[in-house]
Amino acid sequence: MQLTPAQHDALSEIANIGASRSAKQLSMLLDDEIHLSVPEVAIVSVAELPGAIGVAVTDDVACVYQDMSGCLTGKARLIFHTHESRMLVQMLVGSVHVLSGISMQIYEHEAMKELGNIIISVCISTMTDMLGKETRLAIPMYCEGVFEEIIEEDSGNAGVLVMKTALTAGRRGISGALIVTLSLPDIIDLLKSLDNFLAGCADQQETK
Amino acid sequence: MQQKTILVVDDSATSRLLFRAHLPGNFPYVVHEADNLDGAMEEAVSVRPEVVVLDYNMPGQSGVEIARAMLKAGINARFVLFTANTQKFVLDEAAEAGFVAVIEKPVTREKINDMLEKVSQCN
Repeated sequence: MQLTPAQHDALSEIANIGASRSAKQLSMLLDDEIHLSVPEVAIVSVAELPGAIGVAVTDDVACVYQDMSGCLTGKARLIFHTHESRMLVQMLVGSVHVLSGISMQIYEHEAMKELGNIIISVCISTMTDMLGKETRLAIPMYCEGVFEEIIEEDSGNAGVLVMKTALTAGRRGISGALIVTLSLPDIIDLLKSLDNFLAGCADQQETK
Repeated sequence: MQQKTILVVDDSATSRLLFRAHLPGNFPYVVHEADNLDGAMEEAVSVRPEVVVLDYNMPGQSGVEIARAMLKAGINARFVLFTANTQKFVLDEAAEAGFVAVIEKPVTREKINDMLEKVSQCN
């Protein structure tokens, strides 16, 4: 499914605002400067997804995901290469002493869920707020595995909205992608909402 | 009397449209637009804007870098940052470059009015 240039520009701006807000939250959490690349957005099929986010189907990835309901029904996933997710966790945890009795692995997973929840919530809420819609997010879940296994359950879905951005914290560069898997009716609805949003802005401008 | 001008520099056409859509009534400036450094420099030299509103996160140069290039080229304007990325280092960088106000995205009419108030205090 192709985005029109206006839809692409509108989605890019919404992604840029969402990613920038997430970066601010992350910078407070990590106590570090977060530099962002301009997000790349696209709507692709599940088969095109690896190319769109720069992973191979056999790559090991870490994924925080949240089920969505409301105007967007599907799944929002934040995906990093596993080694990059470790870097993120290390930045969050630093040299903090982990309480005895809690395994480091559980601690890392909890940290990733927290980071993922911030990024997913801020990006999805920015998008739905700007479009005047509502989407509820379930609690964040975490998994690790081979990319193709992680997205296997999406193979029946119509399309995936991809927002890809690279963030640099301190001297460490980390590239992550937020992917939102949607059914065909939801994609059509999202594109209609974008068109209405743009038409509303244009009308508002003309009445001045 | 020649009307005052404001130049909005943002790579996103949607963002520029949103800015125009939220302009308050009797907005005291004529709005010009650019989507990159070259276009911004060209417009700035041509219309000599009183105010330049710059997005931060743009391909190539950040808004602060564009402002620095404009200052170097002798564009004597009030600079306003237009971004959702209000991390401390971004705001510090802007303040250091002489920016007088920040409009946090998404833009609203109230935020534009606040910006006008801050800009007028600098005159």
